[in-house]
Amino acid sequence: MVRDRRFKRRFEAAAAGDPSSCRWLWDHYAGPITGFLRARGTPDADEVVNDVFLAAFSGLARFDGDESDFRAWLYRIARNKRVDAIRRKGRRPVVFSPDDDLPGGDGSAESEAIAALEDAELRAVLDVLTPDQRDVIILRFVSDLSLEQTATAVDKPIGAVKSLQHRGLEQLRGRYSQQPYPAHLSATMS
Amino acid sequence: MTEMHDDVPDLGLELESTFGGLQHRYANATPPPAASVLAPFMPVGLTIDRPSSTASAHWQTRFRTRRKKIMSTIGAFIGTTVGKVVLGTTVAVASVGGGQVAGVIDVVGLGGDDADPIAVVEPESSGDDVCDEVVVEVESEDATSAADDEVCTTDEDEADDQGDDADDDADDDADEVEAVEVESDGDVKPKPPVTAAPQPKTEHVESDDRDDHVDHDDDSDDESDHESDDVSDHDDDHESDDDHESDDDHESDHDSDRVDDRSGDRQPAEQDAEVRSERKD
Repeated sequence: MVRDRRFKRRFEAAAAGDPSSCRWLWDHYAGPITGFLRARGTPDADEVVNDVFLAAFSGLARFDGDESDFRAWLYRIARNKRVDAIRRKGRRPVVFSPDDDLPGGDGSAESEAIAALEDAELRAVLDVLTPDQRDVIILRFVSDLSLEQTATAVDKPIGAVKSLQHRGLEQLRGRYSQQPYPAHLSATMS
Repeated sequence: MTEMHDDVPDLGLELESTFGGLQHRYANATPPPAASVLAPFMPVGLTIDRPSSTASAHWQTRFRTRRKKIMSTIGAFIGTTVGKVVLGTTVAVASVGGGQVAGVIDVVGLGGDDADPIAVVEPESSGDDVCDEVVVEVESEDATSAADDEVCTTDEDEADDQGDDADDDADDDADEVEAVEVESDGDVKPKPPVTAAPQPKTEHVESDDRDDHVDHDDDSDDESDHESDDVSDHDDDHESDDDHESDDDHESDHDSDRVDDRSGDRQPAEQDAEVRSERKD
């Protein structure tokens, strides 16, 4: 409740044009949106994040909802902006670049290379999924959204989201049943 | 798995590990800096109020490592003999410079307010016979004898000798300042004469006053010049140049005589008369 009240106060101020409240929204939601875009292999993810918040700040007056809805709304904008970015790039194959913010890394070139390899392997797990399944799986299990939020984000009914989720999980289980267990996952979890 | 995934049955170890890795990797990604397109809505270019990111921690670690390396290098250099010499020299130079600037010490060659090594201040009321006060400022090499650099000589004590007037006359002539030696006790002594020409003894000019010797030398030259003039008058015309030269010498001697007379004006006329009479003899 406290979080909702704080969000409501900040959101109303941001909708009224308060720069500090807009900055507060950026500080609290830009990170997860960036992670979603990078997990989806968005080209120029950093630039797309700025486009997402530009559209969000421009449409604050039209938004009606609580913090949960606002979060889902941001992911929906991010998903649409990602599509726009891919179209701008002419549908070129997405090349995943190693990020410079590796959690737990010591900053050396070796650790960065290992992390980039693990990053590619992690994303390669999702290659067996369709784009919609990938969106749903990432939003549900990486961005930690609920079914309702995911439905808002992908602009689909909840039943469709459940179906996409179920099929996606089955695809992943079938992949792991065919391949040996990747060693890096145990290291990541530990 | 959180409460968000209550509708999901058991994922299995493989899928939980995969999602855990993805969440660890992307759930809390560091956002990029806000671009200028967001400037109409919020201040851009500021640091994000979040816990220290991995990237910033990485740069902080690098900075600390580099700083440690630099400090260890400097310490190793100071540990060597060359480093100690360099450090000691630097400290000494800085101390001397600071003392010079603060005025605690006075080191010759570092510059200062006194540009002239020797400065003679002549009082405005330079009387003909009596010099009221002569101040000779000498920049001595000995910094500790600064009190001796300024000498004040007065003729209040008339019982010293009669050559005080001559000394004062010598002090009046600024061109002869280098001939003045300043002793540590503040007495001003004239330098001995360069040429030891035989001097006619007079009552008043008998001392080691160099100016008097010079005067006598000039006078003797004057006499010799007159003699040469006499000789040259009988020579042929080819030696007229020599005559002119001798005349010039004669004129210069007269000039020197004028100068000497200028100083001689300060002497009693009787003394001059006696001296001239002796010279003629």
